[in-house]
Parts: sequence; structure tokens; C-alpha cells
Amino acid sequence: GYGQSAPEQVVGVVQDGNGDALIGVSVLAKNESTGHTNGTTTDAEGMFSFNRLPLGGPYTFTFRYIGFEPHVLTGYTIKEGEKVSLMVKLKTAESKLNEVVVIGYGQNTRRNITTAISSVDPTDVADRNVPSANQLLQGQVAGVNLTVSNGTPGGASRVNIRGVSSINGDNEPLYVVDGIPLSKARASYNYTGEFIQDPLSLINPSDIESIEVLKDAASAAIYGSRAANGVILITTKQGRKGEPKISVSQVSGIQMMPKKLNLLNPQEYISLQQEAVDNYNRDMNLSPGKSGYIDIGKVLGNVPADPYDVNWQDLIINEGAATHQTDFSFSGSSNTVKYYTSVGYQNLEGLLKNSALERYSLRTNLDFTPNKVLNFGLRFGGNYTNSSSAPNGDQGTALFQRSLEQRPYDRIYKDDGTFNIGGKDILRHNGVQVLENDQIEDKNYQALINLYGNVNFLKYFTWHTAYNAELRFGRGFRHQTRLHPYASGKGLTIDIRNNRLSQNIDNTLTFFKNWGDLNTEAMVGYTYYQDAYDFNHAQGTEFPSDDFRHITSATVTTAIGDANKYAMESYLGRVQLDYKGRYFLSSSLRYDGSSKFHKDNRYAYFPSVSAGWVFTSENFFPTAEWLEFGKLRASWGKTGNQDGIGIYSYMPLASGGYNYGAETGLSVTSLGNLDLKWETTRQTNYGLDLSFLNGRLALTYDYFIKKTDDLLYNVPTLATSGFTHRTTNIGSMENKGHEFTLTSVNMEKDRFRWSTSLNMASIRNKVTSLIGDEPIQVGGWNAIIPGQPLGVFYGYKQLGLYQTLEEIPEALQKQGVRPGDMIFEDLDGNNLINSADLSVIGSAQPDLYGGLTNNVEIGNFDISLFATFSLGNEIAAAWRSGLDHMGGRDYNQVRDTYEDRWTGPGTSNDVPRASKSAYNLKNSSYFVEDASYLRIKNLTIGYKLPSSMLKKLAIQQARVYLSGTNLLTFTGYSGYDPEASSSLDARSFGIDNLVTPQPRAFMAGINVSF
Amino acid sequence: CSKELDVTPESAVSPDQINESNVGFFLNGLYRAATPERDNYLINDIRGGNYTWTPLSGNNSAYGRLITGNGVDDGLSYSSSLWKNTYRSIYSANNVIEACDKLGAEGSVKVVKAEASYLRAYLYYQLVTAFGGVPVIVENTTENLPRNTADQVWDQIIKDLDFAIAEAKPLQEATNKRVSKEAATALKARVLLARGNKAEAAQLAQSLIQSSGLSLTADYGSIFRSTAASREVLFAFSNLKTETNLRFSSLFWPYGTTWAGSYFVQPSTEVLESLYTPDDVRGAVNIDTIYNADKTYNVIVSKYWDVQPVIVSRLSEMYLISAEGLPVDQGITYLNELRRIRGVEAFEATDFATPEAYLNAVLEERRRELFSEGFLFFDLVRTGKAVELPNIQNTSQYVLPIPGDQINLSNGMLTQNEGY
Repeated sequence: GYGQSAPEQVVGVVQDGNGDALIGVSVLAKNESTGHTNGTTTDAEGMFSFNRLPLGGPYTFTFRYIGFEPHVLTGYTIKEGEKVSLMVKLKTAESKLNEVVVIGYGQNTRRNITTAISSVDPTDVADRNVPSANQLLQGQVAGVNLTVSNGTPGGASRVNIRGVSSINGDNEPLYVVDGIPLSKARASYNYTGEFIQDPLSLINPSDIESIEVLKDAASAAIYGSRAANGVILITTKQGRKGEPKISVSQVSGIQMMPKKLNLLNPQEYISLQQEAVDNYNRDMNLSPGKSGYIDIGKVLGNVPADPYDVNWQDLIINEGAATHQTDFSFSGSSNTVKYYTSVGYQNLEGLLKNSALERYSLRTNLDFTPNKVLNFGLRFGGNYTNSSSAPNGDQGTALFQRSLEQRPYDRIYKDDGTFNIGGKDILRHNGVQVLENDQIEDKNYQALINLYGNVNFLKYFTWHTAYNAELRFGRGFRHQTRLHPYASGKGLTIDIRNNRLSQNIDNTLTFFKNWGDLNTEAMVGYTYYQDAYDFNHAQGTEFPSDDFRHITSATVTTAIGDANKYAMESYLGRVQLDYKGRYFLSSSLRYDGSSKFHKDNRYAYFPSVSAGWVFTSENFFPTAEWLEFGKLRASWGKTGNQDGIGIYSYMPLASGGYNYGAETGLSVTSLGNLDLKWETTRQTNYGLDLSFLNGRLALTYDYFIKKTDDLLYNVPTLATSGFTHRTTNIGSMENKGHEFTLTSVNMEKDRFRWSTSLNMASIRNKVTSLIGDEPIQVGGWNAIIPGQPLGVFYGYKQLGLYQTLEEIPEALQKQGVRPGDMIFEDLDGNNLINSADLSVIGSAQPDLYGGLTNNVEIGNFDISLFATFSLGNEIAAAWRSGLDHMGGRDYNQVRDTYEDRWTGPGTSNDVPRASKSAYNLKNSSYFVEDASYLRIKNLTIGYKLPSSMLKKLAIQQARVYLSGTNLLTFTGYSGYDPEASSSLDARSFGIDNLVTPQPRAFMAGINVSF
Repeated sequence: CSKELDVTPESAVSPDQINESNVGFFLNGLYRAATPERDNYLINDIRGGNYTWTPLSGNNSAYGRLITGNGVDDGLSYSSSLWKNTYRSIYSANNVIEACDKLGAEGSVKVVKAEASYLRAYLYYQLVTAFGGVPVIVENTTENLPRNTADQVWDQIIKDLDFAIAEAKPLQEATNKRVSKEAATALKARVLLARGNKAEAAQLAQSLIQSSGLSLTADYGSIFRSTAASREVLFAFSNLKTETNLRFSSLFWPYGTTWAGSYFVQPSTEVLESLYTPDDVRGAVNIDTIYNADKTYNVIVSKYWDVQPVIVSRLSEMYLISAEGLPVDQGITYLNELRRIRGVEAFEATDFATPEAYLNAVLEERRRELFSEGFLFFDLVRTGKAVELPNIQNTSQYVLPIPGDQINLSNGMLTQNEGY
């Protein structure tokens, strides 16, 4: 009985979805007219009451309970002598433990998962307005290292799940969108030095419902053959129960350079070159007239009478680059149909002039459930992107590098208004002219189709069939006008068109039964995958004038076309057991075949097993309020890789395309390798999940050991064989790591909530063996060496500077080495510096990395602060070889080191003297920098408009926000961006050719739903 | 396990399907592969002092380093591309020759073998002149092999050329875009001169002057600008725009000019000041001055326009080999005949006090005539004069370093040239 003393005005009961009472639910009553509030909590029976509320209204009742969605009841009036009765059922959706997790070919709840799967809810990060869907993952998942290696719009990011496990360029995870395995092919067709369009940039991030990252082998093994680098499952939105809902959102902003480099002014430049020339001529005993003598006049060229400073950096930058995104969606559900349909538009300008990406996207998801036996659906996404890019990075006409290298007095235009021509009138390519002369466009048309049907029969069985397809048509077009440096004065057009159709068919049969306390699920299936690709590539020159752009008006120099295909088939099975929700066991097996291998090596088995134990459910375990849930997990599994090698690699081939004198020619292009076989990765994972204080604090820890054998690699071979490379299974690699995720609700009050999540990972990568055990050099900066992480920087180790002539070996003195030049470690002690003296001088792989998010809700305001960090990663600042040469080149020079250069004994032991010699320009540790960073990635402040105000407008919800991206970066790196890398390849990651940095962006947005 | 995984390429076949009807296609592929790259073709001009670097390339570019001799190490890009490209082409040559042997090497197959043998000889000539002794591979293998001596490489070259001389088609039938008896004879004359066998070299050269049906043309420029029809060219790779599309002009012409290119090298001071006299017709063809709007100017190597065939042997070289190979009194006739048609005064035998002075005059004439055709540095090497170049400190620098990565890959089986 209630109310012996005061009469009860409001009574109620709060239950969970099963009708069980919920204890300690916070109930807040608020008079919307007066603002008066009063609060209470539910008792052991889930009951609550109010008896001192001022009369009147309308009253709103808000129910909050950790692990459940908040619930709001509105429009109650309290009258004298009348009792209001409330009955509330809270939904359990928000608890991380009860969250539904999409696993390969099925789903499960977080509570029951025995493997290492992480989920990202895109709504948590929606305001970041990322250009590519995979960037939603950055800093969100322990063990996922997502590096945005350049800031071009839609440019590819590097995504490594638990380190790098392949030597081949391809270390990217497999993306599966609604069951469609996406082709890993880049979505850009023109090579511009840095713009590699991410295939994920074709997809509208606003359409994504959830992202799951399958990290360990046991979760990924069900995707066996393509899962060695992890799997990322993306599920798009479907209609929810309830009234039809219309959502509209709009965000716009501007972007700017996060940093600029400080270079020498004309006077400083001239004096540095004079110093360098004098030193060189003296050291080499050169006098005027002698061959090899360097004449300062020739170095400086035509110095204008008034050598004013031209800021070449500013001339190529699109300062205040705009970004816009608009989305519209309509969704809902009836008894038999769930529908979600959306259209989206994004326009993103780049920091380099002329670079931009536009995306138009359309999605319709229909899920039909006509009866209990049958359900089926169609999910369709149609996307189109149109991008233009500018040459940069390692291109000869690279805008940043070449513009900065310009002598400070070099000018863009002549007095008559025409361009100063690079190399002829001014030193380097005229960046402004290159921008005008080089038109680079890439277009992509993509269709994603997922058709599925499920038949439930004989009570325990479900038959699932799906047809999944990705259809892509791409077009790359590049036109260089007659004035372009590389167009031979005749104009040049490259026109590339290609088609890709990758399709797969999945068939699975699932059996599910409860045997009392034992839940069993068993699944068997078959899947077939085929990827067909064809392309045409035409190139032409000698245009009659710049009015003509297309191949029709050109002399065709290249016209090639070809078609390729590869296929895979797989048989799979999985058993999952759950006893009393306390003991879990799961095992899967996949048998895979790939057409990339010779018949005898084509098929391989990929098994896995995992187990979990919820020890907090044991009777012997003391029930402790503070420890709500604890689970131990262990898993082992094997996955395979066959990506990143040629699709006909095993076959010896004689190919066409070697015509001579207008007659057809053939050439042997590959020796093949019939022994080629699957690269396999074995991974063991130990995990612990803990949930404290009713879920207010949750911790997940994983330790894994991942070993890859039979690494596939296009290995350098002795050139005397006639070939410089051969695809071979070459060695083994290992990744070991710790991953740690902590989420916490720090404070929860009526109108105030503060939560924090932190994740970090420390992963050690090591190449454990290689055929031959000799270092394999990769390009000019990297090597693959047993015992070292993959792709270490490999160069000369600078030990200091020679301070006196006596210190310098005679052989080096003969080469012109003098005090103030670098001391390189002479490993073989022969007093010469050559490739026998190369050693490991750094690694781009971080020691520790992660992300930290803080969310605060105060009343209608929400604030989100997101930071990412990386420690111990290094960058080979290759750009400094062109901009920190101390007069070794005729280019401009960065100021910081110029001021620190060696000018006499004791003046420096690091920054060398000025000289025209190439000796100090060798790829050495001098150019390798620590690129650890902490970055304020995003700060968003939002405001939800009060519902009283919206009601009149028939608006359900409206929120406005301001958001800033890449606001601050704390780093010691001297370049533009510590995440920079010219290549996405794990073997050569972290070389910076002055790629476009990620912009600092400020945005304002609004989301409205009706 | 289904047949669905038996996927075969649509634009390639298995190489063991080579037969009499398609061996010619593989020969075409070999011609294509053996066409020398721009920088490899011109390396003797770069090292020999015909050029200097431009502000665009700088003294520390690959060009600058070869020109100054400063910073040439085993990471040199030239070494790497020359070594790798040449062995790749040698593989193709061996492949064709092996197939011919298997097919019986009679009739048309024998002609194919002769052409492939010439190309293999030409490829080894490039290797031996750049690196000295290299592994001689005449049957394709993936084995790790040591270097042969330079003499062994030269012997193999002569062996292949002798076969080509015996079995190739005559020039008239083959045309100058394919290998002929005459082309093989011309290359052999060059090889014999390099080996110090002056008399025999001169004899072969004279025989070509008399019997090849070619003659010196007054229009020096036409040799390069209409090579296919030229009366001077014995053999040139056709280098079509639709095929190799090598644009030698791109090394020399600045942007914004008729044959715009990268402008990485320009004529050296020595060339500008003393190589050509005003009445020498070669001067205006090989060197040109381009005036800019602001009255500044660039002096450039103007020999190459656009995309031109890559000349390997032409008749002038035979005049020069005759001039060098014969004693002064006979040789001077050939020298003067060439000089006369190029618009320069004839020499008298009495102009030369010593044979050395005469040799210097012939070499200087070679430099003028064969400017930017890939001769100068090795001419100075084979006559022992290259050590006087400012970029050469000692004779071990006559050869380039073997690429360091190949030495590493060979586990030391390949030994490095001295000094690198």
C-alpha cells in the first residue's frame, strides 16, 4: 500500500522488455510551464511514486537507466485528488553488452561473442563529416591503425588491422557492405602522385547503420581466403518501426592549410648559394674555366634588379576550400515492409587548387517479411563521384615540392603577362602554369546490389540465399595543353575507361535449437566469387591547338585494351554453442579455392575455434555490485591471403603489346611460378571483457599473436635471369600486440552527462624469416630485413659532422669531403660510403596509438572532443632532400636548419655546412624524423532545439552544430602533417614527398527530422 | 572442386608455344625490347664531356654526377637501368635463338636467328663497354653466375656477329630498320677497333663503303630527320610513336619550345667554344640557340626533333673507322672525304707530326660527326685518353659500378668494380 501520509499524485512501474522489474531507474518529473523539477528512483519491485508535485502542467517524465534507452512521457497534468498511473517498459538497446553484433554470415550479441570484434556506431562520429566511410574508424577501435596519409578529397587512407601481415602492397582489410565484398581496386585511374581515390569514398557515410571490425582470425576465418588483414563489415540503414520519418541534414564549412613552411628570402638564398659554390670549388680545386667549376652566375640565373620575395606556397593553395554535404532520407516500416531510401550530395574542395571531389549517392533498402516462413529484400546503392586532382607527391610536376623549391625571386609571369617557363625562365616547373595546363578528372559510377531471401522451415532451419554484386564503371581523363612541361609542346591526352563486375553468390543453411540450457547454432554454406575487369587505355598527342582535348583530334601513341578475370569458391561451416549464457564455444571451417594458383596448390583449409567463459555468472563468484559482468575469451584461427599478386602470377606467359616497326610483336613477360600457394596467417587471441558499476565503466583487453607464413611477394631476382622480380612465397612475419578499450560514464545527472572512451594498441611487427635472409631493398628509402619491422627505413646513419680535416679518411677527402660534412657510419670500415654501409634508420610503425573521445551533454547542448595519438612512428622526410640541401641543390631552403648550419668547428654536430657536393644529400638518418603526434581531431558543439518550439513546426527533432576538424596537432615533425605518406604500401609507408596535408576545417551543420 | 577456377588470360599464351610461324613475332618483340633507352644511349656523351647540367637538373642529379664524377656510387640509377634492361633484352634474344635451334635453324628460321644474334651482340657490347666483364649468358638461366672476363664477353660478341654476317639478309632486302649483313659487319668493325684490331676493322669498314650501296649525303640533318630514307644509315631501331615512342629531344629542349622536353643537359663549354667551325654544316644541326622573349637565350643540343629512329650504325662511322684503322697516308683520304661533305677544310698528311696527333684529329672528327650518338666516352676509353677528363680520376672509373642491389642479391657472387 502507498500513501499513509501524503496522497500519491503519480505512481508507476518500470520494467525491462521481458516484464522484469528494473531497480534504481532514475525518474525525473518536470513541469514544462514553470520549469519545476523533481526526481526519484524505482524500488525493488520497479515501483516509484511522486506526492509533492505542484499542481498544473504539462509534466514530462524522463526515465533513465544505465544499459537502457532513455524514455520520455509527455503531456500529463497533475490535478487535486487525481492519481496518474504510469507503466513503462525500457528498451535494452543501448547496453553495449546486449547490442546486436553482425558477424560473418550471421549475427550475435556482444554478451555472447567469443572473438575479437569491435563495433563503431556511426552516429557517434557523424558530425565529423568524413570524406570516406572508413575514416569513421579512425581512433575508434583499438588495434585499427587508420592513417590519413594525405588530405586530397576522397584520397585513400591506410587501414591496418592489428599491424601489417603481408609484404605485398595489399594490407588493407576486406570491406563487406551488406554482404557485398568490395573490390579493393583504387577508384582513381590517373596517377597524379598522391591522389588515390579510396573505393570507400564512393559510399555515403550517412547511409551506414553500423560498422563491425573482425580483428582476430576466429571471427574473420569465416571469410577465410580474403580475411588475413581483417574484415570490416558495413551494414546500411533499414527502416525502423514507427511512423514514417523524413530526415534532412546539411553541413557546410571551409578548410585551410594547417601549417606553412618558412623558406629563405632572396638575400639569404643568394648568400647560401654563394657559400656553397665557394666551398665546393675550393674543395674540388676548381678554378674558372676548368670543367666542373661551378659558376655562381649560372646557379643564380637571372636575379631581377629588385629581387622581391615571391611566396610560391600561397600561389597553389586553395585557401578557404569549401565543403558541403546534404542528405535526405525517408524511412519507416509497416507490418510487412521496412523501407529506407536516401539521396546525398557531397562537394569537397581540396587544399591544392583544382582538386575537388563531388559525390552523388542514392540508396534504397527494402526488407519484406510477408510471413513467418519467408523474408527477402533488396538493398541497392547507386553512387557517382567526379573528382579532379592536381599533380603532387612524387610527380615531376609536384606542386608543393616544386613550388617551394623555386628560387624566392622566381616569378610566375613575365612582364608581358605570359608564364615564365620552368627550367628556361625560372628554375622549377611553374606551379601556377602546371595547374592551368594539366586537367585531371576521374569519374566513377558504382552500383551495389544485395538481393537476399531467407526461408525458415522445420522449426529449426533457415535457408539463406544472397546474390551480391558490385558494378563499377570508371573513367580517367587527363589533358595536358601544349604548354605543359610533359606534353612535348604538342598537347597530351590520356583516356582510360574500365569496367568491373564482381559478383558473389552465398548459400547457407542454419540450424538453431535450444536444448534447455544449451543453445546451439550450426551453419553450412557455399560461396562463389568472380571478379571480371576490362579496360581501354588510349593516349594521344600532337593536337592541332589547345582548343582540342579528345583523342579524336590527336595522333594516337598508345591504344591498349585487355580483359582479366579471377574466381574463388569456398565451402564453409560453423558451430556455436552457448551453455547457460556462461560457457561459449564456437568453431568454423572454410575450404577455399582461388584461380590465382596452379591446380595443385589451389585449395586450402582455414579453420578456427574460440571459447568464452562468463565467470561472473558462476555461483561461486561473489555477486558484487561493482563488477557486473566479466568474460574471458580465447580464440585461434587461420586465414589466407591471395590479394596483391597478379591474377595470372603462377603461369609462364608470352604477351602481346611488343610491336616493332608496325609489325606485331610478342615477348615472354613472366616466368611464372607453379609452386605459388596461399599465404596463411595463424592468430591466437586472448581477451577479457569487464563491466563495472552497472555498465558505467567497461573495459576490454586483448592480447594477440599473429604469424604469417608463406608470405607472397614479388621478390627481386638477379637481373641476369632476364627478370627483375618473381612472385614467390618468401618468408614469415609476426605481429604481437596489446589492445585496450575503456569506456566510462564519468558523471550522470539530470541534465548533465559526461562520458569518455579511450582505446589504444601497442603492436610489434617483425619479419621473422626471408628466403636468403638478405635485406631486400624497396625503392630508395626502405628495406625488408629479417628481425626488423616490415618496411624499415634503410639508409646511411649520420653519426655527426666532421669538425676537422684530420678526422676525415683520406679516401673521402679525395671525394671532396670536408669539415662540416656528415659522418656516416662506415659499417665495413673500408673508409668508403657505399651500399654496404646501409642500415636501419627508422620505422614508420608506431609503438603505441589510439584515440580518446569525450562526450558531454548539458541540457540541450552536446559537446564532443575527439583526439588521436601515435607514438614512436617515424617519417622519412624525402622532401627535405630538395628543401634542406644547404646549397647542394639550386633550390630554395627551409629557414630553421639554414640558421643552424655548420660554419666552423663546434658550430653544429647535426646540420651540415653549405656545399654543392652531393655527399650530404644521401638518404640518411638526417632526413628521418620522429613523427609522434597528438591531434585534436574534432571538436563539435551541438544544440538540440527544444521540442516545445519544434512541435508547432511539426518537427520531431532538430539539432544545429559547429564542428572543427584537425584543430591542433602537437608534433615535432617539421613537415606539414605527421600522418603524411606518399605511399600506402606497408613496405614504403611514411615517406613524405610533401603530400597535401589534412586540412583544418570549420563546419556548421543542421539535422532535422519530421 | 569446380572448373570455374580454371581461368586463363585472354591476351597471353604459354611461351613454350613458340613455333616456326610465330617465332618472327618474338623477334619483333626482341627488336622492341632491345631499342636502347634515351639516357642509356647517350651515356657516352654525358660522361665524355659533350654536355653540362642545366639549372633544372642540377649538379647533383644523375646527369650532374656523371658529368662531375662527384657522387657516382653503386646506387647510380644509370647502372641499374642499363644492367637490368639489357639483361631483360638478352633473355628475349636467347629465347629466340634457343627456339630457332629447336626448330632446326634452317631457311627463314636461320635468318631470324641471325638477326637475334646481332641484337644479342649489340646488347653485350653495351654491357662490356659500361661495366667491363659481365656474366655471359647465352642460354637462359636463373642461376647465380659470376662475372666473365671482358675478353670472354668480346669473344661472344664477335661469335654472334659472325653468324649474323653469314646468315642475315642483305641491307637492300632487310631495309635499315632491321638487321642486315651490312649492319652486322659495321658493328663488327666497331668491335674490332675497340679490341685494337685496327687493320681488320678498317678492312670491314672499307668493304661497306665500297659495297653497301650507301653514300655520304650532303644534308647532315636529313640523316636524323628522315632516317628511314637516309642513304647513310645501316641500321636504326624504328622507334615509332605508337611503339617505343622514345623522345631523345626531351633531354635537350626546354619547355615552351618546339620540341619541348625536360632540358636536363645542355652543350658543354668545350663544345660551344671549339667543336664546330662556322662553315661546318653539323654545327647548326647539332647545336642551336633559342631566344626568349626577355632577350635571354638558351643554347641547346638540337640534333633530335620529336621521335626519331635510334641509329646504331651509319656510313660516316665506317669512314671514321677507316680513317683511324689505316695508316695516316691512307686513312686521311677517308677523313677528308667526310670533312669535305660536312663543309670543313681537308687535312694534309703533313699537318700531323705524330700518329698520336693524327689519332687526336680522327677522334675530334668522331666527336663532331657522332655528337650525341653515344660514342665519345668509350672512344676516349679505348684510346686511353679518358683519364684526362675532369670527371675521371683513374682508369678504374672507366667502367660504372655494378648495381649494388644485384651484388647483394648475388650474395657476393658478382664482384664490384674497383673503387666503388
